[in-house]
Amino acid sequence: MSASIEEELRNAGFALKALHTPRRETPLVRILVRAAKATDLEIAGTVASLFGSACQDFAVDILVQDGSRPKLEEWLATDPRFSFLRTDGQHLAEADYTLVLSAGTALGLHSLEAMIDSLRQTQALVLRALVDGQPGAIELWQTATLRELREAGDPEKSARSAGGERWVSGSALGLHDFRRPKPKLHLRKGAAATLDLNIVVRDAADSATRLDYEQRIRQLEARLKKSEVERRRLEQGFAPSRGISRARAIARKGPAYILGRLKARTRRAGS
Amino acid sequence: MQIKSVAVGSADHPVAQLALDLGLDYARTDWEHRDPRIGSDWEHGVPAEQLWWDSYVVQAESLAEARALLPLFRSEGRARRFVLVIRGLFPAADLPVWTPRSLRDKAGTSAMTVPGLGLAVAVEGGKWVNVHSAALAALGCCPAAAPRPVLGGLRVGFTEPPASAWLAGDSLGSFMTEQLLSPEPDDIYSVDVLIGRSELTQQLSEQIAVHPGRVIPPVWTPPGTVLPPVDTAVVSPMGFLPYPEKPALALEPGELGVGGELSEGALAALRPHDYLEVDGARFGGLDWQLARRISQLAVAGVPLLTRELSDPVRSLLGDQLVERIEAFYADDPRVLRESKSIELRRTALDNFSPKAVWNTLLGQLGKPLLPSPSVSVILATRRPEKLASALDQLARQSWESLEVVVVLHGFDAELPEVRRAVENYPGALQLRSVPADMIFGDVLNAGVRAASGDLVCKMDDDDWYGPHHLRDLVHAKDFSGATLVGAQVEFVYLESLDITTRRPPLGEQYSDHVAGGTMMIGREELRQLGGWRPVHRAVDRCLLQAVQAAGGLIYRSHGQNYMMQRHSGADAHGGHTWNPEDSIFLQSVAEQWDGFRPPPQIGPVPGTLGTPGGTRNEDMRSHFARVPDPVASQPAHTTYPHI
Repeated sequence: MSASIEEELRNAGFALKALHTPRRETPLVRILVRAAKATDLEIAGTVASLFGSACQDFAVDILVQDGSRPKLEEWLATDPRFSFLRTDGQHLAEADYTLVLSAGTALGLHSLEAMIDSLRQTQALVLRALVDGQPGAIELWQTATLRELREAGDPEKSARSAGGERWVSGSALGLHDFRRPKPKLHLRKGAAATLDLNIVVRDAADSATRLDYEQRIRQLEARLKKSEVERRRLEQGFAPSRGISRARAIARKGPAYILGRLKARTRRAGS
Repeated sequence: MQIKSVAVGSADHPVAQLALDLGLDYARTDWEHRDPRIGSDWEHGVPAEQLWWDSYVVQAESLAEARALLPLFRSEGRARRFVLVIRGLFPAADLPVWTPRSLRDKAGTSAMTVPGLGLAVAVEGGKWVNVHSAALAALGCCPAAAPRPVLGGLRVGFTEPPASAWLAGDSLGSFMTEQLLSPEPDDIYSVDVLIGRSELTQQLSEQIAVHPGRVIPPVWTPPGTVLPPVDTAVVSPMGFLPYPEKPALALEPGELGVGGELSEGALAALRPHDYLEVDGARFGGLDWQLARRISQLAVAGVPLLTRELSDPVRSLLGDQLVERIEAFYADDPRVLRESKSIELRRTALDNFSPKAVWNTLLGQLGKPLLPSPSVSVILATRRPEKLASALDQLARQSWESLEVVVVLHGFDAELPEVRRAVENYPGALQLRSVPADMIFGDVLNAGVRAASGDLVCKMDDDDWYGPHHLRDLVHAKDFSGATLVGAQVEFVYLESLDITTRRPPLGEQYSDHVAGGTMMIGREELRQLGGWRPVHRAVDRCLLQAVQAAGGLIYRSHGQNYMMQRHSGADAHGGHTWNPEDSIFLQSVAEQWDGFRPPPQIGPVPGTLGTPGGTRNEDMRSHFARVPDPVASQPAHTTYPHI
C-alpha cells in the first residue's frame, strides 16, 4: 500500500500538525466571542486579530444576545465564517476545539496554535487563560471532551475534580487586550517555542541610551522634513533654485544692507 | 641545620609530582610526609615555636577533609609558604581571594586552578606565617567552607586524629600534642573539653595535684554508640533539587571508605538522582560507617529508599530519624518527596548538627549548654481582623524561644478583636501602636526597637506559614553562615480562581532575593545595616541591597513553609505593598492544583473559617458551567492533600 501524502511529507522531514491540514467542512476551532456587553470596537478588535492569525481554520460565533450590531454585520457579511448569535452560546457546534473568549481580546499571530499545543502537551481537559485588562477567562476545550462532560453534568466541575484544568497566562500565548500593546515575550512554551522571536530591549532608564535615542529621532525628523520640502518642489515641477532664494534672503535684510554690500564690492573691484 | 618541607595527605599521590604540578622546587629541601590518620606523625617532641618549614603543602580530597585537617595544624609551627590543594575541585567562578588582616604584613593569598589537579591556594610573602593561620586563610577562599567557630566558642581538643570528626570543622579546635597536654605551670589548657582515652583523666588529675588552681578540661571518650556531628558547612540541605532528573542510585559498600565520611563532591553527584537506595543487608560489618553516612545524607536531605537496616544502624541513628528515613516511597509526588526530605533534614539537624550533638555531650559532662538563638517575630498589621489568624499561626510555631512583637499600624490595642487575639495567644507578646500616617519602614523599625530576640523575623498577617517555619530558618542561618535567610514565594493561592500554583522551585541556595514575609536576620546585624529603610514601600528590597552592599550573604531556604494568598476583589491586594495582576502568577508555573492546596509542610489550616475564598469568582467560571457555586453555604477553604 502506498504511503499517504502526509506520511511522505513526514518522511521528508515536514511534519504537519492538525491545524495545518487541508480545510474540512467542519472548522478546526469554533470560537465563541462573548460580546453581550461589548462595544462594536471591542468586537472588531478581536475579529481583526483573528484575520491576522496564522491559523484561519475557524468559525466564529459572536454572542450578542439580544442586541443587534448592524455595522459589524455589514462589515462581516461577506465572510461566512462569522455569525452573530442571539443565544447564550450553550449549543456546541461541530469543531475539533471550542474556544471561548471575551470581545476585546486580541490574538497574536500564533496564539491559536500555541493554545492547541498547550492543551495537548499538558493533557488537560480544559485550558484556561487570563488576559490582563479583560474580564473573565479564556477557555479552550476539545469539543468531544466538552460534550462528554456536559452530558455528565457541569463540565467545569468535572474538569476541576479530575485535576484536568490548566491555567496559563494569556501573555504567554500572545493574547492581550486589543487596546494594550502586544506582550513583549510570548509563545515561549511548548512547540510554539520553536518559532523565531527577536527581541530588542533598550533601557530607557539609562540616560545615555535615552539621549542617543532622542538625538537619532531628531535627526530622522530633520531629514524627513528636508526630503518632504524637496518632494513638494519636485511635484510642482520646480528645480532647486538657490539663486532666487538667495536674492529673497538679501532683500529681506533691507536697503541699508544692500547698499553696504554694493559699496564693499565696489571698493574691492577698485583696489 | 637544613630546613625541611612538609607534605600532608594521602601517600597515594607522590610529593614530587605534586611539587611539579604546583611549580615548587622539589629538590631544594628534604620533605616530611604526614598522614592525617596517624597521630605519631603530628608529635614533634618540641614546642610549636621551634618548628620552621620551607613549604607546607596540604592536599585534601575535598573541602570537608580539609576542614577536618584544620585542628591538626595547631602545633605545626611556621612556614615560608603554605599551599592547600583540593583535588578535583574546579570552581566555576573565580574565588574571592582574601588575606586576613593578621597576615597581611607577612603574606598574600593567591588561588588558582591547576589542570588535572584541582584548586590550589597559596599563602606566601617571603615572611614566616603560622601554619594554622595560613590554613584558615586558605580555606577562607572557599566561602562555603570558610572556617568559623561552629561550636559557639567551645574549644574541643582530641588526642587521636580520627576524632577530628567530632569538631565538625570548628576553627577553635585543636589536636593535643604532648606539649599541649602538659602546659607550663602558669599557662592554661587550650581547650574546654578533651576527647581521648579514659587514661587521660588520670594524667590530668595528677596535674591538678601539682597545680591546684588550674582549670582542667573534662575528658570524654566516644563510646562507639554515638555518632559524631555532621559538618554542616559542607554537608547541608543546600543544593537539594525538588525536581530531580535522574533515576534512583544504589549506595555501594565500597563507597563508605574508612569512616563513612561524605564529601561535598559526592553529595553534589547525588543531587540529580531522585532517590538513593540503601540495602542494609549488603553492609555487613560496616554498621558504624553506614550509620555515619546515613546521618550525613539525612542532614543533606537526600531522599532515601532503605531496606533491612540493621539494629546497630537503627540504634546509632535514633528512632525518630529512622522513621523519617523510612517514610519515602518511590512513587511519591514530587512535592511530597520534597516535604519528606525537609522533615528528614530538620530531624537530622536537630540531632546531628554540631551544636545539637555537643549540647547532648555537654549535658552528660555537666557543662553549660551552647545557647540556642531566640527569635523575635515582627508582625506589622493594618487590619485588626487579621490579627487572630496571624497569632494563631505563630502559636503553632515549633521554635520555642519565641517572642512576638505586634505593631498595630493605625489602630490601638483596645479594639475588641485585638484584645481577644492577644488574650488567646499563649506565648510572649509585645504590642506597639503607631499612627496610621507612619511610613512602613519606620513601623517595622518600631517593632525592632521593642524586640529582644537574637534574631528578628518579619512575617505578614495574611500569608500562610508552616509550623516549622522559624525552626527551619534558624537552622538555615546556622549552617549557611548567611547574614539574612528567607524563602522564595513558590506557593500562591489565587483566591479569584480558587487554585494553588507553584512557581519553579530552585532548591536551597545562596541568592540575591527572598520573600519579604520570610526574612530572618540577626537583630544586631540589622541594626548595623541601619534597620529597615524609612520608606513607604520596597523596604524588603532595600534591606536585601544593604546586606549585599555590606558583603553579606543571603540564603534562600526551601519554599514549603510559606504560601502567599492573592486576594480577589477590586481592592485585591488587601493592603499588600506589592500588587501585580493575577496573570503574573500564572506566567511561570511549575505545578498547579485546584482549590486551596497548601504545601505539605503547612498542611491543613485550622481556624480558617471566615476568611474569603473557597469558591471561584463568578466571572472566572466557565462559560459552560451550569450550576452557580453556592457561596454562602460552603466552607471557606476546601483543603486537599497532596497525596
